[in-house]
Amino acid sequence: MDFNELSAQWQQKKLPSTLDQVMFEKITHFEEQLKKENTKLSYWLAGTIYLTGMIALPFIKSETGVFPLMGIWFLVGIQTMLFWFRQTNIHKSMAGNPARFVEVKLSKLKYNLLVTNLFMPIYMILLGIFSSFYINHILEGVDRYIVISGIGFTWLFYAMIFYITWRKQWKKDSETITPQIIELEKIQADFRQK
Amino acid sequence: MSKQQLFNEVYEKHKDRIYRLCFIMVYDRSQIEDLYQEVLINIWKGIDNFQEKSKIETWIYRIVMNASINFNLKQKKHRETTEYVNELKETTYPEKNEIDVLMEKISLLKSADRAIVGLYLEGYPYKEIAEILGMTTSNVGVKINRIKAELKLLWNNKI
Repeated sequence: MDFNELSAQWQQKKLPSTLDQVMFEKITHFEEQLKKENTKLSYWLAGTIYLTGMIALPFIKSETGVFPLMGIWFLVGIQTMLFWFRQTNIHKSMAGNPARFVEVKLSKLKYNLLVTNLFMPIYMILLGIFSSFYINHILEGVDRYIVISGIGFTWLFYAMIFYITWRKQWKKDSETITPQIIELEKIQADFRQK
Repeated sequence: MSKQQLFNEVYEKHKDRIYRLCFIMVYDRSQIEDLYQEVLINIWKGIDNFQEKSKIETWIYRIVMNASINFNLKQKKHRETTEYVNELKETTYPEKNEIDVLMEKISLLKSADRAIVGLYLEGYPYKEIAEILGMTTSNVGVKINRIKAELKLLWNNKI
């Protein structure tokens, strides 16, 4: 087994002409393709803001409504900014050395796990607290037991929704994100190994 | 020079080498076309921001390595080495030359080792391999010797 000879033979391997032809045609449309992707992302962002606004709209009607509205928008804003920041980091690190790339990719995936296991429960608890204030406000003067039951049922409803969505997300994470983290940690160790 | 012209120039100059590196790095060879396209898209996205702090080759091959790592991760059915060995045992090539055999053996290596051997086969000196992969030159030297020994062992065993 002569490595020099094999290396020389290997360097003779060319890009198959069929693939070259396909790629050459695609290259000329890259700019349009990327523009389409960016448009999709803009729609997604606009959609998120619109939906958050629609969810928060009923709160505006009450005097205390501004508080939950601003709270939810603030959190969504922070989350979106963090998302963009991490996406940009991944994009930039693509031209960095593989060890650095793996590090950034790992941090992004771990952040995704954090969203499921930390941010999701926090958001649900905050939503419950805001809703409790809201119910308390609109049912002012009504029997105390009715107010408590209203708040209780709201919490129960949120807890059910949370359990269903969180469980689904947790399963998805275990199937897709966790194996990627394990694999990346192995790759990182290989690049660092001396 | 426009972005398209610059990109076309880079593509024409490095297309074969990028293809060969993708070939070594990809887990599932049937998906090489997708990986190749992903690499080109990443080069296209980054070419505007390329600063001549390093050589363009270094910059391109880092993108190839990182895009390959990312691409292999995205494949849901990530192949375990044992699975791969079994599959290779069953694969028969009508005209199996030395390079085919070598590629089979390289498929059994870890990602980091495949990256190193890929660049080594391209004829890069240790120093440049170290620069591309962000490792020390001595580390690359040690690893290449270890990989060569491993490949020789696999070669002689002829799966």
